Amino acid sequence: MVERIEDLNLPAAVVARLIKEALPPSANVSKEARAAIARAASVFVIYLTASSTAVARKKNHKAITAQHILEALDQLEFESFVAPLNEDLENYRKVIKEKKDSKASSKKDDTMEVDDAEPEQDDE
Amino acid sequence: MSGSKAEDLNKSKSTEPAIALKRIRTIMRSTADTGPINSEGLFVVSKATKLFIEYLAKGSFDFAKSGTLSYDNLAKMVNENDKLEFLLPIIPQKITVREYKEILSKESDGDSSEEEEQSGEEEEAAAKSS
Repeated sequence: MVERIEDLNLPAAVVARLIKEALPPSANVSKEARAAIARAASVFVIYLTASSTAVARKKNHKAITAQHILEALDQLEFESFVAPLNEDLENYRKVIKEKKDSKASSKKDDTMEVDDAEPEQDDE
Repeated sequence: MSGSKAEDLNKSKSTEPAIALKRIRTIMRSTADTGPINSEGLFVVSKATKLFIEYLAKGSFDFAKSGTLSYDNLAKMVNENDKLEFLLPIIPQKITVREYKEILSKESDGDSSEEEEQSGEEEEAAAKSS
């Protein structure tokens, strides 16, 4: 649950950094523009969540997965995001798998080969 | 599997979420009927939000005449881009008092039964007239 309304805002410093990185180094950003982009990003998360929920529901899935989100982005005409996100996701899966593998091998002291580490992780 | 050092660096950068996943989850769960979100989903939303911020910054900077990105640049982008329609209520284009009065006088000339609908179109009409 949301305890404080500020919890629905994205961290201002992070948003400011992302804006700066996207623009040429000489560019300035007005305070008002920065605040509006931060607000827009929060609304984007909610907008994307609602669409992803709809995609999941159509397939009779309860939990939202990466695939639902990518499909929702496509529907919302942000299809240009899908390819870079797929790449990020692939790397993410690799890192998770490596982490799991190294954990497993240190635990079992290399006596067992872990050949099938499930990257899927459902929290909650 | 272990790549070169440069590759590893690149990888770690792209897998480190730009925006804290916990915050993303809080915002996602604030939507009434959202089911559970797995960690991959959370990661993708975080990355998508980063891309979205970059998209807004770059797109609105195209409207900037000086080297400063202003609110008006952003509002113009939102107004002209169909897929950003969902942002119209929170990033309206600003209008002058005179423009506002013009809209009001136009409205009172028109059919009063359409009042409800017109109030939603005010901003758009104002944007076009500016």
